[in-house]
Amino acid sequence: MSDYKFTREADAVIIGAGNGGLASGATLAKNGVKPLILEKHSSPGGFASSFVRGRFEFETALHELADYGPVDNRGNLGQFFDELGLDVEFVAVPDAYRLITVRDPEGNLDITMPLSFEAYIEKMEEYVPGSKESVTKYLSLCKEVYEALAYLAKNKGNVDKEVLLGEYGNFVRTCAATQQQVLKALKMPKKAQRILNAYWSYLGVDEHRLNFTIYGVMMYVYLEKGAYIPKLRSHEISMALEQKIRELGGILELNSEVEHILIEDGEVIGVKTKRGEYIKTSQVLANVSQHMAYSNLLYPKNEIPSRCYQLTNARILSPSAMVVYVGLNKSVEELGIKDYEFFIYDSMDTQESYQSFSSRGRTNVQATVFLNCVIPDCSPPGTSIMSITTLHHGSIWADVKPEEYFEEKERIAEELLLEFKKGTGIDVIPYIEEIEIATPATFANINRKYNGSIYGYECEVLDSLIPKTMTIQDEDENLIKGLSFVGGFGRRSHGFSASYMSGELAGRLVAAKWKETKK
Amino acid sequence: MSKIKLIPGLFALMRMAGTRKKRIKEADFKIRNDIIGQIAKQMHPESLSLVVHSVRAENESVRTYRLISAPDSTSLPVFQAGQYISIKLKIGKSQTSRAYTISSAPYEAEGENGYYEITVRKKPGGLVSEYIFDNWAEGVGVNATGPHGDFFYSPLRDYKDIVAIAGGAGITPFRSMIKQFAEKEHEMNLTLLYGCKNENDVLFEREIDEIIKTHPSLFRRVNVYENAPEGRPQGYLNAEFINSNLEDMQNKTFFICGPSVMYEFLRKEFLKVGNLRRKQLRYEVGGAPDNVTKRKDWPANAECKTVQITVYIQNISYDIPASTIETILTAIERAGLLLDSQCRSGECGICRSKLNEGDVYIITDNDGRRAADKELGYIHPCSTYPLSDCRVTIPPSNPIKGR
Repeated sequence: MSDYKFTREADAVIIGAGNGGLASGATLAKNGVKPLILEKHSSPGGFASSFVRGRFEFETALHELADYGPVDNRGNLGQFFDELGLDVEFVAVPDAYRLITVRDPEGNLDITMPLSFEAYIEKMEEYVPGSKESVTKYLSLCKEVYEALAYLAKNKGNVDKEVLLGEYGNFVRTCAATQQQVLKALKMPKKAQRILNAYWSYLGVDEHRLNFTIYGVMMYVYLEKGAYIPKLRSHEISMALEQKIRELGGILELNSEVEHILIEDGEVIGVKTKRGEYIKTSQVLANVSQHMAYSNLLYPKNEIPSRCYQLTNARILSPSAMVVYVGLNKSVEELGIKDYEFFIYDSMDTQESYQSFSSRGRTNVQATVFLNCVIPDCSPPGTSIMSITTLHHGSIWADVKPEEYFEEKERIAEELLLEFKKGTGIDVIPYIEEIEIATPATFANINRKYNGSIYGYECEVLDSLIPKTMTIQDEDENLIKGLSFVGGFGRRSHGFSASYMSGELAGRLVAAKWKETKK
Repeated sequence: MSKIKLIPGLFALMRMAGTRKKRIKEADFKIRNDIIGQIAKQMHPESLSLVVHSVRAENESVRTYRLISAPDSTSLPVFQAGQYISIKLKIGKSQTSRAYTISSAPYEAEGENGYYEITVRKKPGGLVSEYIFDNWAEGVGVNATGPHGDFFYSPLRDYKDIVAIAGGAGITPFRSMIKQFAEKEHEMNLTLLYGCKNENDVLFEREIDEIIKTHPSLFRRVNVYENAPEGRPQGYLNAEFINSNLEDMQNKTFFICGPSVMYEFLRKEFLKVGNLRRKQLRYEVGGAPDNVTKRKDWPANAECKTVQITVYIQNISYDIPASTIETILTAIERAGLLLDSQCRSGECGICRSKLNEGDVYIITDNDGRRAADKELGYIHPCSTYPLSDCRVTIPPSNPIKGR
């Protein structure tokens, strides 16, 4: 036995109050397990946060929540929040996106797509005559996939193969396919494919490697349940979750960084904080990547099964990002901005764009939102809030000398603003009142993201649901007893909704295990 | 719906399991280095372990301390001219912090012999400045965090014509900017309007004039004195002075640094300078005002008295005395309780705490609180004054390391 001097004991310790950490904390507390959440920051939320510059409060990361849904048609996330009784005001995003390509060999696009099944199909037919049949098929397939996953979730452990193959045959046939393979099999017109792939940068993998199941479910929930954002930035959700956790008897400690997860004989036995406190627990829910956990957190290292390293290294980290937060001294009306979300790409050659993430060349992917188009009073009258996100791998910053760092930040930010101008004809630069630029180093610093990777592991086919399930016997995710992962690196894929739901899932599983051991 | 015919189909699915197993089998046993994590640590270290390299007296009450990296720590993080470091001190039983602008230039922090300079004015009765004057000498270790702050030139936001308005010791960020621009940048120009009480109040005059002489097209300096020495302009740093020294106001960015009374005065004066847009005026945060009761929105019925604050840290409560004219942060520090702080001006949110009960006065000039926080009763104790007995929940904080 080790001789750690534990000064406290917790039913479960959650490392990090990000989306996964908070969601799992609330779920545990609701199920009678009192979690202790340790957060290194002075504020909870991780990426779900906000910050103030001058007279603007900027949303840190959220563009829109998928799977929330209107009152009469809640998605999984909406149901989860309802069951918790979260006090958050959500506002619906009117349209899906405006997609603009600016250097497109197949002809530049500038289209705006709506957020509902029928409207989406019709609008597509308007832009691409003859697309109706294949697009309808694609979206029905997305629906089938969504329903298949609901069936799997409901019948955990006892899936009837007959039912699965009979009722959800198309799900089984497509679950190992890429987005590209499915579009091709449906013989969708090329232009419709390009329009339909607009969301690809939300997942960060090109259509030739991106697992269809994940893209399909995302399309389905956006079109079926709509897209929502909280009125007071995602910090409002984080604060509501924190309140709920406290109400239910959980504890959240800020400014409290965990240094080690202590393991012994293959089991979690506690954690050690940076302040030097030892806390006893048999359950740790880590809101961090496996990369971070296995390289830094678990202690002692010789207790870590080598298989953990292999499983981690077999996965590919998603890209990092740069975000330019801009407060403008003109309203969206004055600027002529009508759309909330713009995807501005060089072209819809997603493979080429994906490859560009690894080089320091011109950025050719941006997702840009104007918060005032959904929440008009999110900034004072006569002003507006814009944020531009581009993707690239953190490693391209490795060659930037420290003294060149600020200049490089400004250079890329200017490039993104000029690309926005190229795409929309609107030059916002003269109206910049506040500007803040986040880089991969920012996300590594504030969010402790390994290599600044903002999402999770890439949603490629090999790392998707079914191949993982098929090989689960010989790669058991619980190589260390009592350790689970939540958030973008949890059991669901990444993104806001997925990371909340990964926390919900892990919370339920841990609560069940905990009750078992208490018996 | 009808069967989707897919080339990969079920066979691919069966193959997939094998491919996945193979990939795992071939994977490394070692997690690769987190390159960006290392860069982030270098750019934003958790704390700075510094040593006083040398001390220079600027005048009787102002000293410049040159700080270098402690022997066992890494090189100094880069910064932008105008940023500050937060000095962490333990004085008696109080742990406190002060934000000091780095008065040296970013290029001087580069490399193995890099340094930061901070310039400290000794305030009579000032807890921290007196402590620094009495204790900091060559070789003394200093704990800090940073660099922090948003008071710097941004090429996308700001005009190339910069007007630096300094009051007294508020010259420090502009010394950094002028030195840096002269060394590295030749795109923008800077006019320094420097308001001083008297001749003794002027800092870095010779040094700045040397730079101006070498780059006459980039820099200009005009001083104004409340009590002018012979042959120097007498007067105040007001609208008239600004108007008489500058033209083309609409294409300038004003950086303003000085005591908080100067800000209150200048905010009114700028209305007479012309129809300036808010983006053109950038005020540096300056810590708590010397006398909060002189602020024009200080509640008329507020008394100067002692109240009691019940402070909760991790479910333990402490009853501490506080003065209505001092910040809640000051009361907490004086009681020997720990609460991290950084800007001490309401902006950064490091001391963010929850007010459970009580009446308070909040300085909103640099209010960095977020909308959801305001709704839930969060305060930044560094800019909040207790007007009645209060109950406040503060987060646990880390004791400063070493010395």
